[in-house]
Amino acid sequence: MNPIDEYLSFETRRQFLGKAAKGLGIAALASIVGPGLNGGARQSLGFGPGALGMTHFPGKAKRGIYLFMSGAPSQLDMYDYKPEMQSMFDKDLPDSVRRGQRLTTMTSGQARFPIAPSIFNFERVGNSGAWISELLPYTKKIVDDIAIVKSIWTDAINHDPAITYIQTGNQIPGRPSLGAWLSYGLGSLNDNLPTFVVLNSTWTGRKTAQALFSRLWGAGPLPSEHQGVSLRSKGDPVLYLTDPNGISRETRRDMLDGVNEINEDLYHEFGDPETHARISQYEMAFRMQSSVPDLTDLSDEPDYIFSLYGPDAKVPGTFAYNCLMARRLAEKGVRFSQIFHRGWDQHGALPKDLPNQCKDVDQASYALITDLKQRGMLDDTLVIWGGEFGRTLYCQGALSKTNYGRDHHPKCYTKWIAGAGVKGGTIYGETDDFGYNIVKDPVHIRDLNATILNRFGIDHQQLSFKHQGLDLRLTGVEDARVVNQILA
Amino acid sequence: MNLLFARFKATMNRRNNPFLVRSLAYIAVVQFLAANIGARTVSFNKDIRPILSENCYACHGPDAESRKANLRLDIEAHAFQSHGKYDPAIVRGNPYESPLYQRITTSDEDDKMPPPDSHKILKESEIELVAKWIEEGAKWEGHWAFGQPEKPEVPNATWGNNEIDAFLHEAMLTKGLEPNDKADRPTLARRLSLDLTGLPPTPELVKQFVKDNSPNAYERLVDRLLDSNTYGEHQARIWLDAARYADTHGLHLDNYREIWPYRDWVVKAFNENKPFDQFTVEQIAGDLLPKPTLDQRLATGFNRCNPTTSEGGAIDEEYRAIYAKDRVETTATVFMGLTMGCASCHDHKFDPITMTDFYRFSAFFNNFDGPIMDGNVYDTRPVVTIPKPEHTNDWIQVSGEREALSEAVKKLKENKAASLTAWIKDEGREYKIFTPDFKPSFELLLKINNREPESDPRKPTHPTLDISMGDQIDLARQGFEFNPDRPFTISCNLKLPVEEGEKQGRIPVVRQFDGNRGWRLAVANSNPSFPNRYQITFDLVHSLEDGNMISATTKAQRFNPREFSNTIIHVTYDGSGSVAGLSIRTESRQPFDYSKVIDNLSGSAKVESPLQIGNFTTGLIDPGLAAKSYKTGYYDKTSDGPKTGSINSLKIFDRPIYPFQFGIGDTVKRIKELLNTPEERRRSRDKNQIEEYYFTNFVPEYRELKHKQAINEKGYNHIYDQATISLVMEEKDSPPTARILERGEYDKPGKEVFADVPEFLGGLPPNATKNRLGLANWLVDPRNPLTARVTVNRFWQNFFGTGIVATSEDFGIMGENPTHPELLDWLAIHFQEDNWDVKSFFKTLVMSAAYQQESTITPEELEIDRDNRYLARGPRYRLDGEILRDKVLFVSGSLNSAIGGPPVKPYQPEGIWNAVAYSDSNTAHFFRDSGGALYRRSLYTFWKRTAPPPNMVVFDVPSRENCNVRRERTNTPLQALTLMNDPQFVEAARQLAERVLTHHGGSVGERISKMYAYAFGNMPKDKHKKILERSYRKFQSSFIEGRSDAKAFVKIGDSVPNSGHDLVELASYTMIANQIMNLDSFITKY
Repeated sequence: MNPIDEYLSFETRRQFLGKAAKGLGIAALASIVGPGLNGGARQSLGFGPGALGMTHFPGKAKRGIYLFMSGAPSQLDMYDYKPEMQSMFDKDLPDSVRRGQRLTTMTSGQARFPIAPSIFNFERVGNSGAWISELLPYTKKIVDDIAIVKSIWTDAINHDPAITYIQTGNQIPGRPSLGAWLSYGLGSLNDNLPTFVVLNSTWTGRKTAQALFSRLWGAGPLPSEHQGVSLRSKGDPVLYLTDPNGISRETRRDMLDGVNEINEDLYHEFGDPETHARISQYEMAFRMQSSVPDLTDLSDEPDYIFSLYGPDAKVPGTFAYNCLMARRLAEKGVRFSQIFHRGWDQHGALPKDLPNQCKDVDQASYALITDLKQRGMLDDTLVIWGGEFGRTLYCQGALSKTNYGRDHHPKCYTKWIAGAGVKGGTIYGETDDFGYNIVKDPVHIRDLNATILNRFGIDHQQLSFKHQGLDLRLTGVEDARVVNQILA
Repeated sequence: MNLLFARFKATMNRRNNPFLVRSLAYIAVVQFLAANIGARTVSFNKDIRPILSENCYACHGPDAESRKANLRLDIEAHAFQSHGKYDPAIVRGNPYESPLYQRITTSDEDDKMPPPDSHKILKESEIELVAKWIEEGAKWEGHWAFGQPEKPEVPNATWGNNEIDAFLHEAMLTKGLEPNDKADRPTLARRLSLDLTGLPPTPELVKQFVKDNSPNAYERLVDRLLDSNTYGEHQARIWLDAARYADTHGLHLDNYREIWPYRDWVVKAFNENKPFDQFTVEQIAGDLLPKPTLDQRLATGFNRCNPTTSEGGAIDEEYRAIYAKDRVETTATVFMGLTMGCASCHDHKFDPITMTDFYRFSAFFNNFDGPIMDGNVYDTRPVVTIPKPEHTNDWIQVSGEREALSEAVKKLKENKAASLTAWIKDEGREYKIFTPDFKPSFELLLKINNREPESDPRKPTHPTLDISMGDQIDLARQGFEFNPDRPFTISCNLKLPVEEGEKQGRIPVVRQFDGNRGWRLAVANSNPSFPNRYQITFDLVHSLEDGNMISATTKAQRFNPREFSNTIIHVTYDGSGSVAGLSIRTESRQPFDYSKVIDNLSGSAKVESPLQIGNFTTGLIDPGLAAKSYKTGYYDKTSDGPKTGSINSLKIFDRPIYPFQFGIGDTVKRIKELLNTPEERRRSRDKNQIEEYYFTNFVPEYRELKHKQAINEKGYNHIYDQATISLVMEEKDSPPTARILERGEYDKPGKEVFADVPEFLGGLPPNATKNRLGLANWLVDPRNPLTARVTVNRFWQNFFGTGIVATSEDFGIMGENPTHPELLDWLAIHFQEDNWDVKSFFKTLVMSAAYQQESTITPEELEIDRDNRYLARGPRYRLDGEILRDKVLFVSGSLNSAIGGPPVKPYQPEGIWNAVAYSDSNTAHFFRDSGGALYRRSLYTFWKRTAPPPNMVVFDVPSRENCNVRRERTNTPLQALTLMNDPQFVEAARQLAERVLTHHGGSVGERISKMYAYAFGNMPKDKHKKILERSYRKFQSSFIEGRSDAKAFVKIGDSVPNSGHDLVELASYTMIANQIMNLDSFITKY
C-alpha cells in the first residue's frame, strides 16, 4: 500500500467509501459480463474478471509484454542467417524463388532484383546453437530463454494494413486489438491501474518513420474501457492524471467528498446503479492519481537494475526505459503491455541505420527477459518480440558492398517469443537459402495470435464478440493453429 | 422427471428401442413446457429463428459455399423438403420424426448438431422450444424486417399523450410495469434542450417555461428548441458518426483532407429540416440529379468520407475493392440496417444476401470518377471549389478559360494523332529539340570544397565559371553582364537539407545586394510541423529602407529531399516592375502562388555588388521571423562537406523562360530509349512522355497553347489555393459494373455484374436508372421495407438511449428483434406519411408521455427492466463526450456560437499526434488554435482519425475509421480524470466562477445557487447547496493556508481571468464549479 492510500485508510469515513467503492466495483460486474446492448454503461478499466469468467483451460501466462518493432526489422541481418548468399552478391534473385510474388510499387519497377547478402557477421550461440547477428550481442545471451520462429508470414505487404492486421486480426481498421481482447476476456489483475498499457518509444534510426495508429491498441466494437491506455513519458503519464496546477491532494479529496456525498443522495433519489458505479470510478481515478506516479517513479530501482537495462533506462521514453517500465507494470498486475519501437523501415541505408535500431532494443530486450527471470516472473509472463512483416533479400535501390536497402517482405520473417511455458532455445521454422520462402513449419500471424491467446488459457475460437451479426475473433474466420511445437 | 436423465437414457437406447426414446422424451417435453412456456404458442420469429440463426445457419443458411448436406434452414420450402439423400429436416407436428430434433438431441458424437467443433451448445430450453414449435405445426414466418411494414392498429390507450404511449403502455403492462409520473419542468427543459440541441437550457429559459401557464407550454418549448440553429449542429454531429466524417484521410500518412463543407451541409440540412428522403437522395446521388446545385454536390461528400490511403506500395485495385466495401457497408448499415460487408467474400451466412448481391451493390460506387490513391493531398479529386467571394467572377473566367484551353489541347492532339503515330513508327524518324533563343548569359558551376558538382554532367555551351560555396564574384570583372531591370530567368540546382533538424530556418541561395539595393533568392522552412515544406523567396529591391521593392514568398510546397536528389528552382521575371511579372517554380511544375508579396517597385534594382553564393544573411522582411529562423552556416565552406544542402549550379538567362522550355537535357536520349522499348512494355507514363516530347518539339501550336495554359494556371491556382474545397462524388460515363471478387480478393476478379440492389429485396424497379441515383430513389421508395424502419429506430435511440431494435446497425437475422414491433412499424409508416419530416418526427417522440416521465428507478423495476427497454421510466444515461464539453463551455458562458467553417484545434495534451504519426504527415504536429477557436462546439474540432482528440475518445466517441450508428456507453476512471483535470474543463469552471462573481453578488450560498442554476437551469436542493457550501469553505481555507495555490490554479487556460477578482475567492468558486461539473447529474441525461 502506498503512503497516500495508507493515509486515507486511517480515516474512517474515507475507508468506508473506499470499501464501498470496491464492493460496488464487483457488484457492477454483472454489467461487464452482461449482454452488450443494454442502455446502461459498463464500468471500469476492465477491473475485475473478464467476459470469460474462467479461462478455457489453465493458462500459463498471467500477463504479457509485447515488444513491437514497427516498420519491419530485417530478419536477414539479425536472425535468419543465409551464408550461401555471400557468394551471390549482386546476382539476380532467381525468378523461381520469387515466383511472381506481389511486390510493393517501390521496387516493382526495378529492372532487376540483385541479391544483397547481409554485411553483418553471425555467430552460433547458446545450447540451441542459434545463429545471431553481431548486431545483437545481448540477445545472444538469452537465446536459450527464447523461442525463435523464423517462419512467420502475413498477407499484407504495406505498413498500415500489415500492422493493423497483426494487431487486430484484420487489415481494415475497426477490430479490437490483441491487448483489448485480453482485457475483455480476462479482466484485470489489479484495481488501480489500467489492464492494457501502451508505451511508445523514441528511436535512433532514420527520423522518418512509419506511423502508428491509435487503432493498434483500440477496442474496436468492444467496450472502450478495453482500449490500451498510453503511458506517456512526457507530461502526464496517463492523460489528465495530474490535478491542475495549484490543486493539492487534500483539495481534490475535499472536492471528491462533496461530489460523492451529493451523488449518494442522487442515488437515493433516482435509484440508478450507474450513479454508484460513478462514485466508484471517481474513487478509482483518485487512487490512480497516486498509483500511477508511484509506478513511473523509478527512484526505487537499484543501480544494478539500471546497469542491466543500460544507460538509456534512465532516459524517459527510450525503449530501455519502457522495458523497465513494462516490468514494473507486470509486477503491479497490468495484464498486458505493449511497447512500440519505430524506425525499422530500412528501404535504403540499412547498414547505417540498422545498427542504431538494434542498439536501442538489444540490451533492453535481454534485460527484460533476465529481470523477469531473476524475479521468477518469466514463468507466467509472456514476452513477444518482432514486427509486422520482414524484408527482402534483394536490394532496393543501388547495391554496393557497403550499402543496400531492403523492401517489404511478407512471405517470411522472424519473431521470438519467451516465457509462460514457451520452450526456450527452440528454433522453429525454416526458410529457403534465399530467406525468401518458407520451406518448413509456416506460422501465419493468425497462428501466432492463437498461440499467444493459448498461453493465457484462451481457445482463440472461443473468445468472440458479437458484432453486426458476426462473431468477431482475433484470429478471424480462417483456420489458425496453436504452435504447440514451441511450447513446453 | 429429470429431463437430462431422460435425454441420456433416450439417446442411449435410441437404436434399440425407438419407441422408448419417443415416449420418454415426450413426457419430459410436456412436463418441461408446462412449467416454462405455459400455454403460449411458440413464435418462429421470436423464439425459433434466433436459435436456428445462432446455431445452424452457418452451415445450413444462405451461404452456398459452406452449406452442409445441401440443407437450408433459412428458407421455409427447404426445411420441409428432402434434400439429396436426406429426408425433410422437419416433419410438421412431430418432433420425433423430425431429423432436426433428433440431431439436436442425440448424444452420438457423429450425429450431434450443432457439431461439437462448432463450440455451439443448445440450451435445454431452446431444445424444448424447438420441440414445441414443431409440435404446434412448425409455423414459418418471414423475417420481420424484410417484409413491408403495415400500419398496425393503435391499441386503446389508457395512458399517455399519443400513439407511442398507447403501444408502450400495452407492452409495459405485460411486463408488470407501470409508468412513472411526469418529470418536473426544469428536468423536462433540460432533457429536451440536451436532446434537441445538445446544449443545456439557460436559467432564463427554464424560468420562462416554469412560469408558462399556457396548456401548450411544453409544446412551445419544443418548437422553440427545434427552431434554434444549435439543433442542426447537434443532429449533424450524430449523423457524422454514421457518415464516418473526419478531417484526415485515415490511413498511413493520415494527412489533412478538406471536406468540412459537407459537415456544414449536414448542419444546414437539419436546420432547414430537409425531408429525410431528400436528405438521403442528395447524399447518395446529389451529383446525378438534374442540374445539381452546389449544395447537392456537397452532399455527396457522404461517400467521400471513407478512409483512404496513398501508401507507397498500395495497389489501386486492392484499394478500389476496400473503398467499395466500405461504401457498401456504410450505405447498407445507415439506410438498410444490413451487414452487407459480410457478403464480400462469401454469401452472407445469415441474411439472404449473396456475393452477387454484394458486388452488384458495390457497382454503384465503382463508377466513381476519381483516383484511388488519395495522393496524400487535401483535395483529392473530384472536388467542388468554393472561391472566396471576391474571386467569384474571376474564377468563372479563369476556369472557363482553363477548360477551353484543355479542350483545345485535346483537340490538337487528336488532330495530330496520326502524325504522332507515323513519327513513332518511322524508323528513320528525326529527333529535334525546339530551342528558343534562351542560352544563359552565363552559367556558374559550383565546386563544393573543390569537389565537382554532383549533377548536371552536361557540357555547358556558354560561358561558365567554376566557383565555390560562399564565393563572391564580381560579375563585371569576369566579363558578364546582368541587368535585373530587364527580363531574366535565374535557374539553380539545389540540394536541400536532408536531416530533419537542419531543415528549419532560411537557406540563402544567391544574391547581388549592397545592403539596400539589389536582388536575392532564398529558400525557407519556418514551420517545424512540415519539415519537408519549403517556401521560396525572391526580392527585387530598389530601396529596402523605403520598401521600394518587389518581394514574393511562395506558399509552402512539399519537397522531398533525399540524399541524392536535387531541386531545381526557376525564377522568371518579365521586367514589368510588378509582382505579376514574377514567376517562381520548380522544374516541371506550374508557377507557385505566393503567401506574401510586396509590390512596390518603382526604381532600378541594378547594383555593382558582387554575386554572393550561399552563406549570407538574408535579412528577412519580417524581423520577428528573421530572429527566429535565420541560421548561418548552411553553406559554410569551412564545414565538412555539403551535409545540409548545397548549390550545384546556377544559370542566369537574359530573358524569361516558360516551363515547357526547360528540361531538354537528356530528353532525346531518354525518348530514344523509350522508343526502343517494345510498345507493349511501355507504361502509360512512358507513352505520355513520348507524346509530350513530340508535341513540344514538332508542333508550334502546342507550345503556344502550353504557354497560355501556364499563364492561365497561375491565375487558376491563385484562386484555387485560397478557395474552400470539398470532396464530392462524380460518375464515370460508363454504366456502373463490378467484378465478383473470388473470396473477396482484389486480384481474383471473376464475372462482371451490373449495379443493382439485393435480389431478396426485389432488385431495382425496371424503370429505375441503374446507378447511384436509382439506388438513392430505391432507398426512399415506400416499398423499401428497411430505410424508414432503420431511420426511425436510430432516431428513437437518440432520444431513449436504446433503439426499439437494440442492434440499430443490424436489422438482419442476427440482429435483435424489436421490443415493440408494432410501434416500430407504426413510426416507420407515420414518418413516411408525414413526408419524412424529421423535426415533426422528433416532436412526436418528445411529445409522448413516455419521454416526459421521471427517470427514477425502483429496485423492482430494475429487476424487470434493467435497460429501460419498456420505458416505464424516463430515459437516463451518460451524456456523449461532445455534449459534456459543449455543456461546460455553454454554462461557463464561453461557448463560441459561430456555425461552420474549417475545423479547429482546441486544447489537447502535447504529443498526442506526433507520438504516432508518420513523421512526414502534415498532421504529425498539433498546433493548438487560440482565442475563439478554443471554445467552438465539439463537432468543429479537427478530427485526426489515427489519433482522435483524447478527451472525446475516452467517452466512447468512435474513431470515425468506419461507419458507426450506435455508441457504447462506458463509465471509467479515465472519464473522471478528464472531467476533473482537462484544462478545457478547468478553464470552463473558472469562467463559470467568474461569470457568477462578475454578475451576481450575495452570500456564498447565493452565488453557489446561481452557479448551480447556470449548470442545471434551476436551483439546487438545500441539502446539496449545504454540501457545496461546506466544500467551498474547505477550498477557501486550503487556498488561504496555501496548501492549494490559487494563483497557479486560476491561470489555467488561454483566457486571462479578470484581475479584479479576489484570488482565493475566484479559485474556490472555480473548484465549486469543477465539483458541480463532475456531479453524476451533470454528466447524466435524466
